[in-house]
Amino acid sequence: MDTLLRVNNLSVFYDTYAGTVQAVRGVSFSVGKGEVVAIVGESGCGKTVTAKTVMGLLRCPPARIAPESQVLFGEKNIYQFTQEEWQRYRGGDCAMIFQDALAALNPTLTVGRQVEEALLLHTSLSDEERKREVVRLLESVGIPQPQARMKQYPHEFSGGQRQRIMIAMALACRPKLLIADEPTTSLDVTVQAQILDLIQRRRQEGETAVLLITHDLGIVANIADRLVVMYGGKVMETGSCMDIFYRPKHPYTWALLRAVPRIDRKSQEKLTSIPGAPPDLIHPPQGCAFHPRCPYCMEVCRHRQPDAVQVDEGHSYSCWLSHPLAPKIDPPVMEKEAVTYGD
Amino acid sequence: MTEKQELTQQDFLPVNQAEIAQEETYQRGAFENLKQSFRSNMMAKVALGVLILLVLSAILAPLSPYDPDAIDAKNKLALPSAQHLFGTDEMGRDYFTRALYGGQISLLVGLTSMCISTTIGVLYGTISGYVGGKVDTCLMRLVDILMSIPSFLLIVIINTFFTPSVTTLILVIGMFTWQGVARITRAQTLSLKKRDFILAARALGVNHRTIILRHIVPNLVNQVMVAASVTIANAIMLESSLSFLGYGVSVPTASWGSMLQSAQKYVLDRPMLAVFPGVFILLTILSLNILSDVLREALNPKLNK
Amino acid sequence: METENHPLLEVSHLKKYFQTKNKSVIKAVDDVSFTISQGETLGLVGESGCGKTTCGRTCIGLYPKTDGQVLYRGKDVHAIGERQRKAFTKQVQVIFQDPYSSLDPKMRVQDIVAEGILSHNLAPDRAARQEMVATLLEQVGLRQEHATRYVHEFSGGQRQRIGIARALAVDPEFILCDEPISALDVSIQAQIVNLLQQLQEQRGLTYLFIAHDLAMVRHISNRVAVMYLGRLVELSETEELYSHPAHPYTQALLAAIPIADPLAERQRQRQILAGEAILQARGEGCVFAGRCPRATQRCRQETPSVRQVAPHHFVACHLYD
Repeated sequence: MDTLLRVNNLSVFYDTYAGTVQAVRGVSFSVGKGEVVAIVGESGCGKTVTAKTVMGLLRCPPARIAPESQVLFGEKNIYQFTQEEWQRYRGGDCAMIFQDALAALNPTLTVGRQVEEALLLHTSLSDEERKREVVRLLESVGIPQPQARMKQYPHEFSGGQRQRIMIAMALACRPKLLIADEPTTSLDVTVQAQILDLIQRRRQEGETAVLLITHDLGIVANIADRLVVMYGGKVMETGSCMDIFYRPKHPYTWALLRAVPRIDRKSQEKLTSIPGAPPDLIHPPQGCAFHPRCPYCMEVCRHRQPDAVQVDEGHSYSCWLSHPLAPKIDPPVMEKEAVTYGD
Repeated sequence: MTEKQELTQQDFLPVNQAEIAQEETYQRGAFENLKQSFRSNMMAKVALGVLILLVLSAILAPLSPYDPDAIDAKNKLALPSAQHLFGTDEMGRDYFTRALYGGQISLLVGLTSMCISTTIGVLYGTISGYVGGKVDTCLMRLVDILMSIPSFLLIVIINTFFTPSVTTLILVIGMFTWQGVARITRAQTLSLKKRDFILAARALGVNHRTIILRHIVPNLVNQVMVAASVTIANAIMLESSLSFLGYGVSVPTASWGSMLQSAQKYVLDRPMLAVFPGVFILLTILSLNILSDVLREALNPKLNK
Repeated sequence: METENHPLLEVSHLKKYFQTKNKSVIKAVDDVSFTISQGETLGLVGESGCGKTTCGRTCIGLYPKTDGQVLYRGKDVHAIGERQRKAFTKQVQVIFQDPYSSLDPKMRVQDIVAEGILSHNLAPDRAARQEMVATLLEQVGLRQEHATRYVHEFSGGQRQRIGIARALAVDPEFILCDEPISALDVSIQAQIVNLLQQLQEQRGLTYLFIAHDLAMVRHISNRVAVMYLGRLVELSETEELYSHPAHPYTQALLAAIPIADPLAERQRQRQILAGEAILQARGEGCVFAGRCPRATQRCRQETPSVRQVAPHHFVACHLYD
């Protein structure tokens, strides 16, 4: 598969009153053409900052991107883009959907005008064609009566519809990469299913690659090709959907998978919780970011950061348990086969 | 690989997490924040320094060798010299000493009338906001009415009925400057009232009086402190204006405002007479405003990052 | 003392209406009835804005009701006097959703937890009170030295533990858990749910557990009630509800929840519900009729009454006539 986006050794810092927040610490991953890659992690793991960096939306200062970091789109590092290239990249080649659609849409402009804006900037369509394209886009994301509704303002739409409008805006210029930052977190489950279905279908139709940022492993199971599991500003494990769900290697991934009860299962006695709280990124733990909460923590974990170890093609993880001297740990029982949902 | 070879079996012994003292990270409290803001903000340091200097010099005014009210007819309108730092006024009184004593009056009026107006305002606003409904509407309309009448005019009118003295000045200023504080506290109370911790207190059977005293008022402190620092500045200005117009403290007592008033006659010959009290007023108000900004920043946890 | 016939909390035909600015009436809770027996956990689920939080708070008298009746141990919750009200607050407690707004930022942890002890005079002196606070903190998995800190020094999960300690301080028998885990991270949610379950065992607590996460509700509840736009559409024992959902809404809701298991996901038959739940003034008819794939003319005209489809399994739907 051709690589569309490659992030190499990305580090991002935030300078605050309290000290320097090390939001992202040496993250590397790539997204192929037409591929759906999900970054999974809890709040404060650096996933949103990573997405914003890729989109070039970080405000510097207070943010600082380490000089050795590279974000390659195609062949070019986006942080060496010229003004013109930026213009074509943002909204043209690469578009973003935000978590809070109400905040992301301008309340004083009609939605038609807002969808049109991207077309105005990135295409040379005539007025007439543009109007038609807006109607087509709104229709394609499932807004009923687009002719009439494009003249309405964001507050006249429901939460799910606003999210649809954002998707229409993002897709207006047929981007090569769509970044979706928690696109369904503020929505109800029934509406979430609609939006996921929409993203899924758009992706099957076109060549759009998706970088999905989420904390919900359930969403990921259905639409992602590959996963990047982040914790404390670092990548813990990365691999295909099957690798992560059925052959996970990292203790954090094990814990994450087992902490979520399943809707299709009878309840166990007790949920497997992860003790402690996510790390403070002003003073991130020395060594492995997960070591203070890891049940398999060893001496070395407390002092030295583990290197990424490749298991299979595309499946790697960073954990000292991979070291030949480490005790052999049997991973907790994971799902081996699918169980149908009983009805 | 070389790095890995340095590792020994020892490094791979399991660690008992419970035995490691978990490093706790502390976030700083409001007071620490305040200290930090002062440390990083040059303006704040200067403002605080100026204010302390002004207050100290007002308190220590009696150390001056001159009597502020002693008339020295031979030495009228003298220019600043080693003997008379700020020169003398039209009656030959030492202007520096008068400015110090004037500071006593001005700062006293500012501080005490601030206390009065803040107390009234907080009580009024909290009750209005907490009770809500029709009571709130009535109380707030009253504030609107009071705010629509120029309070300065009102104070001038009321002052004409009383013999001007420092006490009446303080009372009158305090009684007519609380509306702003009342509005701020009411708005804040309304938003606090909807917070879950108030509901939690009610669910625990805590009575209304205790809820107001223990939950609402402490949470108003930030806003009230900021509002109060502005009120001091306003009160000092009000006192100056009143004294300037002749409704303030009576002669021969000095206050910065009354000094400005008597200086206007000589403003062309001896502009220094107006400049000195003017600069004192300016410095006080400027420092107070800077400090209130710093307070607002340090006490608002949302602005921390 | 309590038997099956004497539920702890008995809610019958509870209604809570709000008047909007343009004079239309929003029925946040409309004709809701259910009971909770001692020691059980009733899960109340529904999407945002379906009235589940309003329903819970009205049930324990935090909000006044519009109509209907709530009996706690046979006493009308909304008709008790000031003194009895205080006694009632010792028996019934709340844990809130938002661990940030539910704790007073100006108070130390020990004062927050001691609030109920003070309010009900449960400790003779300061030393006894501090000891009680220390015991409570330990019970919810916090350390004694946390007592003198302010809440902003704690993470979301720790704050929720403080909120639980505050509720436990008066030794209640019934706790309304108002979405206690919705604002927390996945790894922390499990901690809090385990804690709640452990406390239930130790103290014989009864929970009304409000949530929108159906998987967690399945884990913690004995029975589950499903709400949609102010109405209770289905009520059943947990396993029965999840294995045989009867109401079309419950079916759609269960089908919409993604499972963290790619192969299982691929095999699922997914029926995606169109439209959204919007709370607004409305007339007669089933609240779900507008989105229901099986709605008939009758559903739009006649409000369905509750009927039993299996033992202890109730549904408000015309399909089961």
